[in-house]
Amino acid sequence: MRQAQIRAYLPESPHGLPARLAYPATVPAARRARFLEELKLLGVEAFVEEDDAGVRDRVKNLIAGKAILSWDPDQLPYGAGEALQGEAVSFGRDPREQQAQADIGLTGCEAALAETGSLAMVSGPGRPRTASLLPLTHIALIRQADLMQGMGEFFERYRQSAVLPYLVFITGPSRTADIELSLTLGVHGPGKLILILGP
Amino acid sequence: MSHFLDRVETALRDPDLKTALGRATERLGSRRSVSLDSLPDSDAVRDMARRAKLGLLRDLAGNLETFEKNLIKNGVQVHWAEDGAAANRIMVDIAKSRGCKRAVKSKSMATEETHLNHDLLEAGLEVLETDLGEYIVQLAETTPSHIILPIIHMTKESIGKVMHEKIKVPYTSDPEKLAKIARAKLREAFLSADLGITGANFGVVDSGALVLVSNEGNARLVTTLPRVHVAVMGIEKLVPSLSDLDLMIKILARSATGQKITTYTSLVTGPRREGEADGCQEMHVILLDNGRSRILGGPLAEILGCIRCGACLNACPVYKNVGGHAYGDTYPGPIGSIVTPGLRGIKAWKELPDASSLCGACRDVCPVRLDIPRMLLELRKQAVDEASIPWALRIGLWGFGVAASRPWLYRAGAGLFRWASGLMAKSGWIRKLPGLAAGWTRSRDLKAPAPKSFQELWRQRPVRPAPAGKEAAPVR
Ligand code: SF4
Repeated sequence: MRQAQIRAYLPESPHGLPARLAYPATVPAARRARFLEELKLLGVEAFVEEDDAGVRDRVKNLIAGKAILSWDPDQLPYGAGEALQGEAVSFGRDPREQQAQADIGLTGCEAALAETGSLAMVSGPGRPRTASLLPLTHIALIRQADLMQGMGEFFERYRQSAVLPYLVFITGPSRTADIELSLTLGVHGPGKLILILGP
Repeated sequence: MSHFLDRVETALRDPDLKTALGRATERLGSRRSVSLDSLPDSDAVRDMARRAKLGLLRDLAGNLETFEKNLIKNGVQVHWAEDGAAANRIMVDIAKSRGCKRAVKSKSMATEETHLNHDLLEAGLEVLETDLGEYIVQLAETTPSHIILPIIHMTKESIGKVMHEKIKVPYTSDPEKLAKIARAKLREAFLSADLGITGANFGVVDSGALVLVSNEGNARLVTTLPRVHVAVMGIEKLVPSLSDLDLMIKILARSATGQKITTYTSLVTGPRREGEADGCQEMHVILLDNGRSRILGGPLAEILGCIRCGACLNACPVYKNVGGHAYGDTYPGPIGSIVTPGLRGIKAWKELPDASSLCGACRDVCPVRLDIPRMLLELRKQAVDEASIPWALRIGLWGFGVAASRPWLYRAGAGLFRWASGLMAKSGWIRKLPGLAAGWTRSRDLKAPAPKSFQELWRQRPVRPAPAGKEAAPVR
């Protein structure tokens, strides 16, 4: 009785809708072009590198002389951990106060989404969340093979899995428009986001 | 509590409010329409999102049980709260038994609804709001006036003044500097807090995940740094699966701020796992009813499908003029006019459903296509059934009935009114009506009637000469 009443108050939607959205198959080149376009709109600095050595050099250049909070070296793609040598680096296991002093956070990512210019970050051992959160600048490395079309496609990956990890989609620098709608960057998270797209 | 009309009157007398609101709602409204258009198949996505939400509500009890099971599987402790007082009590108990002293909060309408901060302070805890807007609301000791932009009613000058007075920083009205000051202040708090409090934008039934969206990143800090995380979530906030969540994320930010997606979309799935260096060590979810199950069994059930995007506020001609505080409770604008009487009972909130012109702008912008005007009409009917009609109104309506069914009497009455109001009008407007009619001009002016009535003009209309073979026809 009560169930029937609830149904009456929540009318059925029109018929003929697909059960789920179809995710269009896209080619890597198109995905990459769209991704870079979205990054431009978001004010994200992007570098495209041809090979592993190019990525390592780029990282070295960007972090030289700064205090860094990084994922564990063996978690970074392209052997980019090498670039950390000789720099002031802290990791997830270090005291929080020390991590909070870092100027730059260095991370990889699980996937990147072309449609919105987002990074998908998954928590795990050696991959502290603080690295993409506490410093004012966040540098993330993306492998060409991890570039997907959108969030739906990314979720497909977890449709069958028993547990979902803690995950966050990051789209552009931290921002607020609370004061008279005027845009301010870096209010709690990083105000600057730099992405390096490798091979 | 003050009366609705008094709150409206205060709002209309505030020139700052009018400027701030006008600017903001205009810009948000136009951004939203551009952004929803940027979504391919936006109509299909909206229909599917609506179906997912309403389908879930049809078996809310079953879905809640599955959700609870999956939360527990993820290592989350689940609590059920029948009302706001119960939710607050559970929160205080958790805080005390875990020895927490300092809480940081990210924006949550559910805890505004239960007045959680008050109860936490009373229990001797320190509580700090960390969303920039909510932080300023807390400093100014006021309440948010918009569900997305809490301080939409304040100018940057007034914000600068509040920060100068309350935290003793040099006065500035530069939004960027103000945000920097807040970042530094709040960073200290984040690093020393032991309790993180959030709401939830969505709960994903099939994976037991809480979804939090924020542009600033404070929700991430709140769920990552303190050792205990407690989320308060209204029981209607569920979506069935991750693919439904994808639909909601597609429409939420587009409708709220015109972004394709908010900067941070977090899926929180329990305390830190084996080998992780950060994340809370203990996580709780408080499922809050507080009147929602009562709404579910009635004609307002559809409103539980609301995803709190705020688009209907920005589109509403009444909200644009009176602002959020006039609605008197947690949820302002068209949704507030339905949710507040729904949650708290129509008796004390009879005027809210009247705060609408029924223009339908809210229904047009709503990403899940909620029929807000229908529900407002339903509530008006309930309000009339509830109320005893005052004698003056009864006599008035009876008198109108008599006059309206006798043309000579109606004409005489209308003529008399035109003559009398002509005497009162100044340059075409009447500022104040006398006696019983005074209520009409309390918060608006009345346009003076035209010198000639429609019926007079009709009788005097020129007649065109008839073409050969036809009768004379009046000019159209
Ligand atoms: S009723 Fe619709 S438009 Fe209004 S806040 Fe809810 S979802 Fe948004």
